[in-house]
Amino acid sequence: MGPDLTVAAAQAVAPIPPPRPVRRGLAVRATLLILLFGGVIGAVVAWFSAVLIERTERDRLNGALVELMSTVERAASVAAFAGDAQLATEVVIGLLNNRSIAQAVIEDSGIVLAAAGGPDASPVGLRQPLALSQPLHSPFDDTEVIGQLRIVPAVEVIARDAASYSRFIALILAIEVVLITLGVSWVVTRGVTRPIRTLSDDLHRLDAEGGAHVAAPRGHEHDEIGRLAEDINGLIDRMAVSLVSERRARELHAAAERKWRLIFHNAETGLCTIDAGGRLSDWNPWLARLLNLPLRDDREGRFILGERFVDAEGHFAHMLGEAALGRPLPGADFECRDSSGYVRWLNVVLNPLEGSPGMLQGIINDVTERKRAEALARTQAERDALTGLLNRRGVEKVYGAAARESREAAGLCLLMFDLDGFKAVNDTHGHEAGDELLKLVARRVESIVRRSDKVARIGGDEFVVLLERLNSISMARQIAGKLVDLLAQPFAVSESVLVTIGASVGVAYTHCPPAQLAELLRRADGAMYEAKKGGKSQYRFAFPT
Amino acid sequence: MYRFLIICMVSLLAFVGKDALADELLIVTHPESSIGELSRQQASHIFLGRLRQLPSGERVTVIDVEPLRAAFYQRLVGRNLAEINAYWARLQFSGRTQPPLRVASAQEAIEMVLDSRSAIAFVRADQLDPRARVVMRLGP
Repeated sequence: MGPDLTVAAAQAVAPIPPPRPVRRGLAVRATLLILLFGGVIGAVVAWFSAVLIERTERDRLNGALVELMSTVERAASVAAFAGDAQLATEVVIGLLNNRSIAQAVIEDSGIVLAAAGGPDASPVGLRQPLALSQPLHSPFDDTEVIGQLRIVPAVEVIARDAASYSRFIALILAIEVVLITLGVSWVVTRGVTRPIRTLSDDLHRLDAEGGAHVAAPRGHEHDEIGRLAEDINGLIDRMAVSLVSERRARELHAAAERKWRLIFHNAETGLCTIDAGGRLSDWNPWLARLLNLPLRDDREGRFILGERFVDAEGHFAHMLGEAALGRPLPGADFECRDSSGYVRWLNVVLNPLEGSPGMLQGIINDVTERKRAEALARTQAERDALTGLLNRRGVEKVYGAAARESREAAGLCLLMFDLDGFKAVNDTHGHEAGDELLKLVARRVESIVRRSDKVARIGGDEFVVLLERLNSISMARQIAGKLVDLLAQPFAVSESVLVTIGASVGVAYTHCPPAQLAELLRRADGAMYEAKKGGKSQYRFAFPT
Repeated sequence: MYRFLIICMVSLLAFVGKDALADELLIVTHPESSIGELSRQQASHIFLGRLRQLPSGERVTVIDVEPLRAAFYQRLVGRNLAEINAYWARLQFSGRTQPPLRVASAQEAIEMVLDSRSAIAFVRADQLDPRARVVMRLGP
């Protein structure tokens, strides 16, 4: 998210590039297109008109020639009737004065009376028109045909005339096309291209974020270009609104992001994401410090969280599996060695990571202190505050463990004793002296038992010694004797006060310890009572029941 | 009554016939002329200059009788004298063809016909000389 933000910011301040040069202007394109279409249409029209003109020209000429023939018919008839070659020649020469006529002939009953002009010299390929002929009637009898008047039109001349006429029309058309094209080009440039360019230039200079608007080019307020300008302004308005809200949202998001990042970085709690296989993919500095991981995120999953824990029962793997299936278990404590090699206790909570299937989020808290406090509390609960020996609860716990372990042949011996004359010391020298005496007794007892033996004060002046793994009863006897001797020695309860007490010891020895300490205690207590009764400062064995 | 009717009809016929006979125009030639009986077309060809030579090679001498011209051409080709004159004038102006020889009287024409084997002329029926040969009759 951080890099994205900077990119977005960079984009926001990026300068607007200059307007792209227009390579193919609308006006040029329209002009070329119209020139092309106009040229094509003009060419087609010119071709059609050329064909049409030639045809009409020929028809017109034919009509003119027919008229001409009827004009001279009378004279031709007279010439033919009278067989007068002179007159006939006059007539045909007169006809030849018309440049559209290539040849004129007057025949009298199939005999050429007079002929003028040569055969038509038009180039090959031009359609040779049929000669026009008109029968000549007798001037005195309309029913009598006496000859014919024949003329051959000059096709070359007709074609030339038609061609020049067609050229003229083509020229007119070409001029028209050019003029129309120029007109369209002017209209497009003035009416479309220039306003659009004005609009485009305005847009390039526009401070859209400041809410500035483009103005419709002058004279175009009410046409499509004006509407385009209005649309652009509408777009700018909407964009400005969304820009502001976008920026605000982005700032809020960035602030939240910073906050969460700070929390993530500075939390005195381990935060991490791991996959269902226990591979760490993301973690915070606290966890990195604790587990000696690099600070950089490691997406290759080289670090497996479970490997760091002392977890013989595989509870962490179970938690992982259940959390991956969407059934997260309550958090659990795991023992772990930190980067400096110290034993630490970590409370681990795993939950599915929302939005990332197969990924879990782990929250890891250092609970070493709590664990220590718990251990201390547990220790204190099992110790006698005055002497530092085990108390009743402590010895029961120790006995429980010992009874479970020593199912084999090794013997277990419980020595129980109270102090003879303790009450007198208390009464004579005060409670402080009494307490001091109890401490001294404790130290003295501890000094004669083995390290593995347990000493406890279970009542006011009642003590218990638990001897484990005894090879023979004689060892018990020896210790009991030593105990009686030692406690009979004087105690210096203060610098000036020396007291002498004694101890009556009851010994309960067994090869198969009962489940409850109380039973063994009762036997030892019975033996102790016997010892007291027997004269104090002695020990007695309780016989097995 | 019947007789009267006959008489009337005959006398009417005689009157009309005499008048008609007297009015008839005849085309005449030399008795030994090679020109035989003529059709109207042949006659017009000869008198209007189309036919100038006879099949025998003789040149025809055509004679117009001045007082009879109007009636003759009217009967032969249905044209009045002005038209006939215009026709000849056109030919004379630019061509070579010459109009017929013109004589003042039928008598003169008869003489010329009798004098030349290649001559041809026209006369009124009552002016006919028995020596001339009639080749065509043109009724009124």
